[in-house]
Amino acid sequence: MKIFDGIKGYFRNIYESVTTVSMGMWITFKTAFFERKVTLQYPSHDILEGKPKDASLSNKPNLNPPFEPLLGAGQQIYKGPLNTQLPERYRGLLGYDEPSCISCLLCALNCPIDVIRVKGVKIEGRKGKVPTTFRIDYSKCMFCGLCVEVCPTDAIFFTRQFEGATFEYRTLIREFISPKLSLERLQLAEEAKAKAREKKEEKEKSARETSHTE
Amino acid sequence: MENLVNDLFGQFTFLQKIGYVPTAAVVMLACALVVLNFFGLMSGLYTYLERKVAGWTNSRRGPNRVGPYGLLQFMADGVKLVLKEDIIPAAADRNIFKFAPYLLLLGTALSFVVIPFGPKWIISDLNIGILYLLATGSFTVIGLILAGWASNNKWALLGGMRSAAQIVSYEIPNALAILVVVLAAGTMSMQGIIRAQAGGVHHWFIFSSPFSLLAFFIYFISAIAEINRVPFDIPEAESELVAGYNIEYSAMRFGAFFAAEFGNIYVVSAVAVTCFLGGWQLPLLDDVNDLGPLGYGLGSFLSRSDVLMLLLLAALLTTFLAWKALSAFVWDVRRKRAFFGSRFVRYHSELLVLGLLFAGGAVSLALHLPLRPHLSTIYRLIFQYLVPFLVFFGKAMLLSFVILWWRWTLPRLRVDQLMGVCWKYLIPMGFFCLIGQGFWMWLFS
Amino acid sequence: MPLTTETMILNMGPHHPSTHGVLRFILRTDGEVIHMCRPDIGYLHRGLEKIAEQVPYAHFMPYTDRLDYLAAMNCNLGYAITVERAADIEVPLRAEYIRVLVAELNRIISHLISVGTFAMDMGAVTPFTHTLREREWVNDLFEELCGSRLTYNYIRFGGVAFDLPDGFLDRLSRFLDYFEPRLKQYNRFISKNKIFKERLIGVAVISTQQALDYALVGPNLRASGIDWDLRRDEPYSVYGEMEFDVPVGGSEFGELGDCYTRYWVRILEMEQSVRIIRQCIAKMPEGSYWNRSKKKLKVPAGEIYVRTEAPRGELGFFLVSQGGLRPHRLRIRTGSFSAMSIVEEVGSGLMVADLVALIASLDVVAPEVDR
Repeated sequence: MKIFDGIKGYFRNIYESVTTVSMGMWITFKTAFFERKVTLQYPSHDILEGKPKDASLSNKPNLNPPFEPLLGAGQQIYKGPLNTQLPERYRGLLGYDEPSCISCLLCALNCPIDVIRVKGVKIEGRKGKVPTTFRIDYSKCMFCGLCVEVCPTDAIFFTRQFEGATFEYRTLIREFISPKLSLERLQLAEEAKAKAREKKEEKEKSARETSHTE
Repeated sequence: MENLVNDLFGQFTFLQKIGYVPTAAVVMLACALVVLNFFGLMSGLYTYLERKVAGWTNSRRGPNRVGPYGLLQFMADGVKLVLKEDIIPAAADRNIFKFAPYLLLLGTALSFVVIPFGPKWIISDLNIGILYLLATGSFTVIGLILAGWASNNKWALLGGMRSAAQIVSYEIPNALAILVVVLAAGTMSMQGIIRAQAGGVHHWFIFSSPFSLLAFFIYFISAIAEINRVPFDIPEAESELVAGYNIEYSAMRFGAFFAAEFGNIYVVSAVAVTCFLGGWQLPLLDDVNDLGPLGYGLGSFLSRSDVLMLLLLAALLTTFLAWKALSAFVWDVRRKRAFFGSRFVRYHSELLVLGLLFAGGAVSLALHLPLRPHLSTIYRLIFQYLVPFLVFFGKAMLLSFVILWWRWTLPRLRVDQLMGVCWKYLIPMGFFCLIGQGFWMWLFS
Repeated sequence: MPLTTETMILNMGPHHPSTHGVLRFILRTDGEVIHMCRPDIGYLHRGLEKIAEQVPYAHFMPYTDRLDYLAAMNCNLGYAITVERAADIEVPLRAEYIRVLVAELNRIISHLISVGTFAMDMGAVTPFTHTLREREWVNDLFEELCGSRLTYNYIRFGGVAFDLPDGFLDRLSRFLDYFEPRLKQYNRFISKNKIFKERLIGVAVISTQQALDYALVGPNLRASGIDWDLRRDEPYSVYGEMEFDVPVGGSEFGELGDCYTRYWVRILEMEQSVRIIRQCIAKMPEGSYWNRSKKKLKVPAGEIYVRTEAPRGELGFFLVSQGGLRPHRLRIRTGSFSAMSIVEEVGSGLMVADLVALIASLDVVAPEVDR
């Protein structure tokens, strides 16, 4: 009877091969001709037919700041609908909002790989310290988001830009505060310091005088 | 081709002054040029089709950047391959390494000599045509072994050895399946085999007897194995042998391997069409000659039912295109797109072509009257050359699509299983078919 | 002249399509048959354990993403639980449910990659792109949840970084509704394919004793017939409240401990993960998602070993603290490493094509081996 089993197995093999192969072929055929293609053709955005996930997002100043591209040859910012289709928590290149920064150094301290470098001075008329240096090294950043999480004033945040490729490593290190502004602020700080010193001296003087009069 | 030379020689008297041999030489060269170009074009077309089918089955889009629908992609690829640096490994056997891909290419190109394109279109209708094809098919294995050996790379060597074992084994079921056809047709000439299947779809060898139906599948499977396609692509199994025999090749030599592989797909499909699917004959041929004005000059080629079927197909196609155009138009109107930015213009260039065709038809109708005396010649040319070619080509394309489709559906076999399929299943079944066909013919004729 | 044959040394990798990352195998083969197979690891060594000693506890979280990049959530979870147990941090209930949800979701997409690459190593490319297509959807969900698609850095000590966005659970259940029929389609498409089965059944069998000897973990262990799953046997987070089965290899699919069983156990695990996620969605409580403390985290001196069930099996963190801001030593035990070590014993005697199947079925991820 063993030989019959063998013969049965032989024909069962043929039967199984034919049925399972045709089943697979039907599935690929279905995928090829009756199912939606999932490709998003990235730079040519006219293929994307869907509405942006949140149309108002593109107008939110906080999410799409006036953020110039990294300085590289032939750099372009992608402005298609993909940006507006990205979710709100999307982690793009880091953005920086100078006016609200208080140079508390929390972002720099919380960065595991020292991507951010901040220096700040105290000048009059602004809360906290004023940054004189704010440098992000995009080549090292791993987009973990720890800096964004700890920032108390939302001065550092994720933008929706994701095209960071350049031809030069140097262009990935970005200074957010121009040397001119930085110098101005340092001078202001010096002046403020001087003024404060003067004030202090005056105060001390007057105190001394009052003490003398007393 | 002898017919062509003789025709020309008889028709144009000035050729007799030149002499028979130079005329024949020139005609031969011209034919070779045409066929080689056809071969190149087919390989290109298949690279495009392969990538398109791959894309579709993978729910991607496939190439769509170069040219309309990405049709010129193969040209871009070819230009790239030609411009690339041709690297020859220092330790390779230089001469053999350089020669191997062309041997492969030669085998494929030689096969095109006996492949028919129409009742009168064949380079050489050898009386041993199919045997010749089996012989040229064996060039492949020599090329692959040489490539694997000369590369001086262990993976390439493994690939070459695998291909040797595989192709030599699979030639046996291949030949057995073809023997069934030869038995049924009583001839080995390619045109003879096609003519033996005249008289409608039930005379085609695939449907004429159960044994030849089985033989068709045996032929198809073993032929796929012989051209190293999935599920039998173990010589170049990319996940095991990286790239197999062509691992060290680059630039156009690499391209030559692929030109040969893709050319081989056409050869295999064409042979299957010739042997089993009635070649260039339409499916419903019967002897109805009275076709009215439409069939003027059609001769014995087309039947009324064929014309009806063609009309039906044309109607279906027109409906489909009209539906697509309408939906695109609606899409545009809804989104208020400008004319040149609209879907209608961007994605339906084929509608413009169709419009041009209709315009051409109208013009030709207008020109109908003055051309009346020559009409029969024109129709004869169309229906003796163009239509059979399209029929043959369409059938071959359908089979090629199945080959590509398998490539993107199935996993690949292991070496020992591959041999098992050949020796345990295909060869016994091949012998069974051969004997069965003999009995069938003895019973029914 | 007598005909002689000799064995040859074959270098498989580090640049080989089926070594999943950067691995190298030194093979001594006689033609196609392997006589010796020695894995050579270390190409992706980044010194993660040393880095852990250099940075504060919280800063190591993004590095665990890179430990096993296909299952970043599970690695995050393992590390977070280790530190929480060492420093005695409370986790809100909602955060626990969210953690289990994302961990199981990540297990699904990790197994999808495993199944897809398995099919690709067997020569079928289409299943791979089909599984990636489903994975894209989950990636979109994760992107919505935490802003990132691969290296999530989502779980924090004492909770998770973000609450679930509005309508997230609806979109997730829509994905699950879509995914379950798809899983059945994969079975029709590739799992039941005759060629695929022939290639895998009875190939590279790892016996129960061998699996124990080499300390295999996770699906590889269960495929060899040992009913052991940390989610059920040593429940962490809220796994104790979940109802699920642990698929164990048996004779009903292939031979015990062969490549096909390892493949099939993963398919079944995906079904169970879907079950767990559905329960999470149903039970998801309201409340705080992060018990956030503003103080700098200091772990009291001592040592602790915590193990969790990652897609590639037991993921253990051994933490030695001397009471500072940084760990004194952090040792990571990963499933891929022990899976790698068994290749040498099981691999000899196979054919080259079977070795590819063995590596793919063990689901080795190179960065997890080298760390």
